[in-house]
Amino acid sequence: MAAFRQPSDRVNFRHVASRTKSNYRGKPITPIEAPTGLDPKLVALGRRLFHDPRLSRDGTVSCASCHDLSQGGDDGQCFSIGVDGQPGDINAPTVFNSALNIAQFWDGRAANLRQQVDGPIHHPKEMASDWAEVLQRIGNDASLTAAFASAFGGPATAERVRIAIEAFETSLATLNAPFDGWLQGDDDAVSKEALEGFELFKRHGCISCHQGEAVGGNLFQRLGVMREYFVASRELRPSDLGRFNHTQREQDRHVFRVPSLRNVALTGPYFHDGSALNLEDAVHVMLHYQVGADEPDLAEIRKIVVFLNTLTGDTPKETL
Amino acid sequence: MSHHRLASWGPLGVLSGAVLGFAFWSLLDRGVGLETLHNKIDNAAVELRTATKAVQRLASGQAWDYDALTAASKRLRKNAESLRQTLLSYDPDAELVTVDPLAFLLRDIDEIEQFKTDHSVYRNATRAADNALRGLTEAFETESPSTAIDLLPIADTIHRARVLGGVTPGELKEASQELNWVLGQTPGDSPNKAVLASVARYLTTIRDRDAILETVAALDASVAGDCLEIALASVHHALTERSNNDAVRQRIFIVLLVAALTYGGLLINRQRQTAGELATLNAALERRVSERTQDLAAEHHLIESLITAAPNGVFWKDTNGVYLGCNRAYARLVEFDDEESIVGLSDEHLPWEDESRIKKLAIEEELLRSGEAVTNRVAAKRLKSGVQRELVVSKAALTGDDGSITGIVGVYTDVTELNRLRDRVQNGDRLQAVGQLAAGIAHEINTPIQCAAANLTFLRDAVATLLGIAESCQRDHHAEAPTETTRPAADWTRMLERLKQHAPAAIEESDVAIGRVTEIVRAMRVMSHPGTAAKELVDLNTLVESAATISRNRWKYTAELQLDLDPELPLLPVLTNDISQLVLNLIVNAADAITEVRAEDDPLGTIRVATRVESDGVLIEIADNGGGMTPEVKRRMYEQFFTTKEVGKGTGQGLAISHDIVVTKHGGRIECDSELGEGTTFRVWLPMADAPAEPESADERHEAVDDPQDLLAASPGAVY
Repeated sequence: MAAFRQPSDRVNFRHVASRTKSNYRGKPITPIEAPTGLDPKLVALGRRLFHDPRLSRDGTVSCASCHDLSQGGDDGQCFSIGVDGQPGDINAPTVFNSALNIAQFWDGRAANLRQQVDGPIHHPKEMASDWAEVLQRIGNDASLTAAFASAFGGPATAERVRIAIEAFETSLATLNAPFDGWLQGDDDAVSKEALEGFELFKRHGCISCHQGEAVGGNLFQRLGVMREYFVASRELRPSDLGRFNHTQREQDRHVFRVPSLRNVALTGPYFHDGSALNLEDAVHVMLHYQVGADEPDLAEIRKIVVFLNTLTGDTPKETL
Repeated sequence: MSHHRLASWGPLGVLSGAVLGFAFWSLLDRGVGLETLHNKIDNAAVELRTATKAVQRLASGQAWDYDALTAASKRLRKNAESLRQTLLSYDPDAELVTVDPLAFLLRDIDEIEQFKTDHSVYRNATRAADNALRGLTEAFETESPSTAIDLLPIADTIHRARVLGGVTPGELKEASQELNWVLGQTPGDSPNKAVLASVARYLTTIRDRDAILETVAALDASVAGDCLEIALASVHHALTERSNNDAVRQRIFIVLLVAALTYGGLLINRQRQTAGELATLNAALERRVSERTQDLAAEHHLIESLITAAPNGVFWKDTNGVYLGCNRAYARLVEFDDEESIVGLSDEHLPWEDESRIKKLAIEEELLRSGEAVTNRVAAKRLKSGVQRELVVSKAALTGDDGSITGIVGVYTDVTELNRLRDRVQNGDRLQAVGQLAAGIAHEINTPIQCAAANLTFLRDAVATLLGIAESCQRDHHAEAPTETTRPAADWTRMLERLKQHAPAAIEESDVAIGRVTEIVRAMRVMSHPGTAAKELVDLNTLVESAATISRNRWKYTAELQLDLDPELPLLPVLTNDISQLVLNLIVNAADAITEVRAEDDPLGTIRVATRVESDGVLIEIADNGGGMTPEVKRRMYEQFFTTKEVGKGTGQGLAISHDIVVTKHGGRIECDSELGEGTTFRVWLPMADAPAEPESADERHEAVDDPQDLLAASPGAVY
């Protein structure tokens, strides 16, 4: 008898976010915890699929094209490049720690990672493919078909591709960030300047949204709370409507998922429109529009950036 | 006949099944679905309470990050999705459910998300405004003390607003108006004006989100639970209503039920008629089989009595004087409890008084040397206990195939008692023994005689009737017209018809019955002079098949008989009649065992008879799935006269005889596995090589009886 259980199509990942966490230094930020309960076979299969350009129509774009695991889990572009070299119309969010998000995509239109998979595969400016095509290509690859048989006991289906990719992406947690070390009691893990930056981060109210294990990611917020961000002078793109595109509710206009600040130093350019090229700019914009600081102090911004750099964790092992 | 039975029950079974299935479908399918739905709604309600608690912790400032609420919201969404699937499977057209629990849940999930969005801003704005106002009141204390006093209630309101539920939207509006007034009063050159303006902006931001104050109240857990319950009730109501609309289904159900019952009734009626006819046929056959069985039982009773249970002590030993065996009478004679204990001993170990032993051994030594048999020697032997026995002793040498002497067989007839009785009453007891025997024989003969007598009575009446008819005919012949007393011709015709129908059978039956009596008498003669019935090479499969055929009406209403006969079976040297009877006994027993436990409507039991070659012999296996035996019954089953059957049905001979046939006559083995409630399996193994059969030859016995000198001292078996 095989010692392991074959995962079914109804696999559910218990995620770390559902666990009760101890109170780290009484802070609203808690360390990243390693995901548990993942089937190594599923993760390995998901990793292959994640790097497989055959998921796109012309075989040029894989998930990893825009979510480069060596580059902080995104591509460093304002807008990502899809099939036929077309630019997309939104900034690629990082894939790291994405299982912690309240929902997927900037506008949260996918409730979870499994549902998210269909988005880029069908998006005409991303992979521009469809399941029939993808499954046919997988079916033609004996080795990949064997991997599916080993992980699921059967051939590839759309749901099984989703499950495998979900498993792999769930495994992409960035552990051991210096700030997590400090939260867990290592006073020397971060510099004094970083701690001053953390104090400023709290005093200015950034912490209101950027809290929890992912330092954000777990709620939606309007871009432009204290000041109007989308002013008449700015050219308005469809993606700027944010969550409104998904819900059609007026209160969701310009509302986006608050991004996680984990590994934020690696994931520029920033915001859904990639409009801030570096962290200093991004912090400046946030202080001005979101918390309503009149004249942000540059020295303070620098300290906040030093703090943000301590949120960079280890790139997940065996993912490159 | 069993095919006919199956054929008539089949459609009824199918129909009943269909009706029952329909009944379950029409009564139960709604309930099952509702239970699943109910569970899922319960789960969602529990999750909603968790989420509500998380909201309250955030609202009261006990929790700061949104992870717990986010996790609850994710789970709630999963619950909602699962609920959606159930509702869809249940009510695909969404036409029944007017209050949608799913919509209710999704609205709550949206409210939770909106709460996080608004709460994060509200929380930050109240904090920022609170801090700013604290600085402002200090600043205004020097610049404009009255303004500082004006700001106090505003500061208080905003401070209280930091905890959700600490303020009402009305208070916030009041504070906002107050602040705008203060802002208007403050001169443009005041250094604090910008700060005041920012506080005003914060206050606007807060008021824009004062809806969350109501969200917290709206998410009250008990309200949530109630709403879900109402939703469930609505679903329940809608579905029940739809069920009621399916009254047509119930009407079809009733019509089908009535049809099924009517059809079933007709079938049962026909079944009864058939069973009645069968019973008549059966009774005749059964009577014959039971008569035959009783005959056989009696036959073996006699043989058993003659050989095994005879009061003659029989022993046999090897050339060294070591006992190889003896019968019970011999064991009793030498004061042993059972015959097995003597095996392996020699006379030194038996409680003979010395003189008796020396004499015995001397005779036996002489016998071994000369090979000459000793017959009917009268001897008195004493035991150490002082008991003296008067014995008639016969001893002979046992010889091997090559004629060499291999041991001694001895027969001791204890005539102590007989001699004593002879002294007292010459004839009385012996006549009594004969009388007892006669009573047994009378019982055997009684049944056929009664049958014959009954038929004779009938025939007597028949003859009377015939005579009546004859006379009447005669009178009619002489009279011109039929007299008044004459019976109508139709009556005569009917009576004649009846006679024609029954009289030949009555004569036939009487004939058969008297034949039986003759047979019994003949059998008794055979019993009393059992010839050396030789073993013949026989195909056991044929025997088994014959026995199965003969016994057919004993099992066919009770069980299905499966034959699993090894076609490669070699011919076996057996006593054909004995083995036939053995197999018959075991099959009839199996059928009885099934009948005892089987209710009338139960499926037929199974009797399985198999033959196969096994270790230099043939194994006959007879298995039933009847009631099995208790350990007590199993222990006693080979005992004579032991029976579990009703009085008049079993003689208690069958298994005792079977055992004797197998072990004594054929040197085989009979084994029995029986599990109470599971069934019984008998295994009879018969050896391929001819085993030593009759322990003593008829010639020797005649010799003993014929000796006039010891006639009275001989075995009472002689009276048979």
